[in-house]
Amino acid sequence: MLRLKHSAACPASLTLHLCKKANVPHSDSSIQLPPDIASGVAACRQLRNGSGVLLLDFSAHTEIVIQRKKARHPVYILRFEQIETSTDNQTRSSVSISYATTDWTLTAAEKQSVKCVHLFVPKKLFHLLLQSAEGTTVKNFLLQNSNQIELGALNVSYKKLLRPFFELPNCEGLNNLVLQNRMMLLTEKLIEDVFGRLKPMRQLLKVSADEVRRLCHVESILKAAHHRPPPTIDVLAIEAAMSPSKLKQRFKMVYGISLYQYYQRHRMEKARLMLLSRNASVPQVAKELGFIYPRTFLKVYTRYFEDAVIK
Amino acid sequence: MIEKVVLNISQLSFEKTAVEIAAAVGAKMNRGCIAIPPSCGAGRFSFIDFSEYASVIRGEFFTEQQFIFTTNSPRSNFYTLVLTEHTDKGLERVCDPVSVQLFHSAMSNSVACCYQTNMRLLMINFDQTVLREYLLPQVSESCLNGYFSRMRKDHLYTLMHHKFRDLLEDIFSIGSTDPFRDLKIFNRVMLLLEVMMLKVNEQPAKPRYPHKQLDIFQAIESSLVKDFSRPPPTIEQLSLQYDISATHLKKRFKEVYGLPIYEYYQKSRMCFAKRLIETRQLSMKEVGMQVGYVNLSHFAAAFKKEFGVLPSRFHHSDWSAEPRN
Repeated sequence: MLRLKHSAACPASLTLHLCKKANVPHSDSSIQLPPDIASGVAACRQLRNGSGVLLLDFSAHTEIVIQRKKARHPVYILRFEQIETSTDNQTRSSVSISYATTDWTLTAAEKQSVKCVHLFVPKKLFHLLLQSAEGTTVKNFLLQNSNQIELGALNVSYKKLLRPFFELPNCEGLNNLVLQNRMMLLTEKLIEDVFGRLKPMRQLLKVSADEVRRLCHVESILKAAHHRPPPTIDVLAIEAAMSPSKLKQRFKMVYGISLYQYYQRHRMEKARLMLLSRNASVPQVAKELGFIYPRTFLKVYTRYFEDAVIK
Repeated sequence: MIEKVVLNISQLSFEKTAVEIAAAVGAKMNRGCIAIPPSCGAGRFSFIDFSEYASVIRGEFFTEQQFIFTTNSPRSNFYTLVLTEHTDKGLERVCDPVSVQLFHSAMSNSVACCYQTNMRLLMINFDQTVLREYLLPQVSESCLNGYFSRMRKDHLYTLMHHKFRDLLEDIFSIGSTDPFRDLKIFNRVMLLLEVMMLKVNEQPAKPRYPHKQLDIFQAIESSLVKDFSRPPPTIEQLSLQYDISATHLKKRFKEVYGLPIYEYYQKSRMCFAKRLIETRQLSMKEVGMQVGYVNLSHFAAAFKKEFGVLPSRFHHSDWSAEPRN
């Protein structure tokens, strides 16, 4: 079992961390994982404008958990992950974007093979790409979603762009250019996908910037309340300076789910992190999250994470 | 008598060139775009600056005038990549012998566009720093110098091929209203540079040809890949049309493009089909028809032969299962 907690601002410091953890000598860019943990490589590459890329391409021989703790680095992380279970040939893949201030975990069980590319794009560069009016809406959308958006599974066009990261063309002098281009194209594609997702919503959205700001305030209150019952809608409405019905309607417009659902989902994500990271027992976690009966907690938890088998 | 418009490129930014083009066709420039008035022809030009790094001008036009772009400014220091192509399907006249060129601004060079033909022109100026930052010095310095000297001495030009053509198609399909137009164009332009540098980096071990023969092969190549909905010309037809013996044609084509004529045609056809599928706008049947297949299972079989997956499975294919190159 390998557990890696990190809050790296760049891929290089992450691989350095990984080296220490896995007891392997550190080399410049690419490290060979030891056989008792996994067979494969972890590599990092520095690209232009302060961006970087982390590559993981291995099949795990023991459970590997890479957990990111939030940190205040001004960097966006674009994640492209694919986990394949060799025993039943199932593949899970995902594309997501998050800011450095969010937590997330990458878990690979035994006999699963992982292929992932994490692009670290500095905030400055990312915002430079989003200068147009449309770019600003994308930026705001990211902000509304606590800077984290899941974009579903990897499709063929992403895979095509990701391939050169694993098999570089046979030409040393051009590698930088090739990878830099792929990074930019991946970023472009992701921005476009986020924008595409926004389109149907934009017609709906008649929410002013000020209202969005107030909704964000409500959202942070909800998030802070993960260990106790949520504040009532009336209380939240006063916080947001809106009528209760308006608050409910606007919240759903902006976040896609209702206030209570949002609260519950956040709570369950918290629970998942706790269970994964601290090896806390189910009753402990349930208690910490304010559930009186662990059973109720389990019921809610399994509804959110179908795959979850709690050990 | 054809009126010639000579435009000198002396600065990294194409703004001056765009102003000159606008003056030549008697049109006004509107936020980097020039629409050619009907009195002069049809089509338009647009230019974009990417801060101090690069500048791009793209044009799709049909004019009575001939545009000639020249460079000869010893003091400036940037690279220019020019791609030109005529888009007329049935054109047999060989227009411009060279359609892909890369040169340094201090070299004296000229690019002449065709007139009275539908043309596509893409010119990119790269600042020297771009090459220095993106490429290792062995590529940016020695390879480029080797390339330039070969180009001068032996008239060894880069030939238009499907990778360039695909990117060109991409760049021209980005509309001016696209929300992320600049980013998209910039990325495609950098891809073009990548393809070009890969070409430059290749060590040319091929025998050299007289300039004129290369023109013929370029014309043959472009006539092959212009229109996939009709059956390709036979080798006999080509050899008659271009006054070249069939054996000679087959042998030389393979030397120049690396593949026999029919295989080259088939490969470009399948790549085109793949692009169509990737856009997700057409049904498989429509794609099959567009590349000239009447029988869909033949199309599927041919596609599978080329890329290893059936067209219907293409969107689900794994990233490691890549088409053979």
